[in-house]
Amino acid sequence: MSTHLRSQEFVDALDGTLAVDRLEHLDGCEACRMELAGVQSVMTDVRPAGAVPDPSPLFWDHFSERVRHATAADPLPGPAPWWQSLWRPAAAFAAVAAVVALMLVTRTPPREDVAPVDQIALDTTAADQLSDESESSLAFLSAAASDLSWEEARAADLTPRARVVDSAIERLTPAQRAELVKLIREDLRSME
Amino acid sequence: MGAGSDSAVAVGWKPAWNLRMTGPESSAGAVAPTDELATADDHRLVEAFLAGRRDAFDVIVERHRRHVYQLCYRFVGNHEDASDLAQDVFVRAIKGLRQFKGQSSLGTWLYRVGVNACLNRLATKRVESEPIESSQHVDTRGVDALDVVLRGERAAAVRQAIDRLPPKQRATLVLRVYQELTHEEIANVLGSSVGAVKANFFHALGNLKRLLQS
Repeated sequence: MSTHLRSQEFVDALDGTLAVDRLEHLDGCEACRMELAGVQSVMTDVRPAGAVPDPSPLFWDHFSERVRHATAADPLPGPAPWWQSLWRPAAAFAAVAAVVALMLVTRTPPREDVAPVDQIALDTTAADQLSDESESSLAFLSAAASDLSWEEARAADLTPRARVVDSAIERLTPAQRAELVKLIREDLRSME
Repeated sequence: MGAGSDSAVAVGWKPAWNLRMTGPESSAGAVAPTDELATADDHRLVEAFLAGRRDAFDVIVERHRRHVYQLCYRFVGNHEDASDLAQDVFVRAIKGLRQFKGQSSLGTWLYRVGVNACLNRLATKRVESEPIESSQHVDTRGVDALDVVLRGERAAAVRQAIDRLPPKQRATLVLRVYQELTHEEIANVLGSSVGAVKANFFHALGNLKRLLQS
């Protein structure tokens, strides 16, 4: 058995617009029929109770005059102010601008404590150049600097920048890294 | 209007929902407007008024004053308050007519203004319904006097019960049964859904049934 009529369906039944399948339920459901009969009975009482005594025909002229008098002080509407026609486009523009600003802010990468942009560019260039340098160039530089102490090399600004060293180490194979560690240890031992 | 029949309501009962507040009301008018305005539809009248023609608003008042008055009477139940409220509705309307966008009929929009005014009045001031002579609105031809009296008493009891309904149920009942608006129009007036209007209407009838039985 289908569910009982809902409140809206009782109103549809009063209006004669209840769906066919619900009418079938109504036909077979004593409870729904009783409920519907109850509201129909109320409707029978309600309708005649809404009678409104008709005022005197003179009342209507008097009423119109009262309204005219009450609204006489109100200025007649003129054309809408210019800003009233512009507020919608202005609001739309402001909304679009806000969205664009929000997108720009959210897409900017978080600031890191890194070297200035021009410095990074220089370092990157140096790293690229380093990677591109041939073995012979490295050999030449190595020979030229072999007689210099660390302090002398730093004074001559021949020491590499930190990022260049890091970049170079990252490019080493595991065997090369192991060899580098070994060389550093030997160097440290010789300094002792 | 709307209260002419007291015959039993059967399944399939359909009210005479033929009321549309766009036709000119036959009444001895106040100031005769131009023929052009007198025959113009409501939207044209609104346009004319917004263009600066005050006499267009006179036509609007003349055309809708009876319906607005009846709406107000059904909320407050006496002539004095109803006429004051109806006047207030048109004063509000003339101030707010620029906001009328024409998405509903002018009549529906005026009903919205009217219902708000009536509910505000009921919320702030207790109004006394005036007794309606039982013989005044009942066709007594062929009906014995006792029956007339009983009908009058029953109608008074129903009006008192309607006064005790929650505001939204009362508004829904008045607009549906007496002002003969469709559920869609009532939803537009009250700013709710059609489903909510139907539910309110059903609950109003249910509450009335209980109130009349008690």
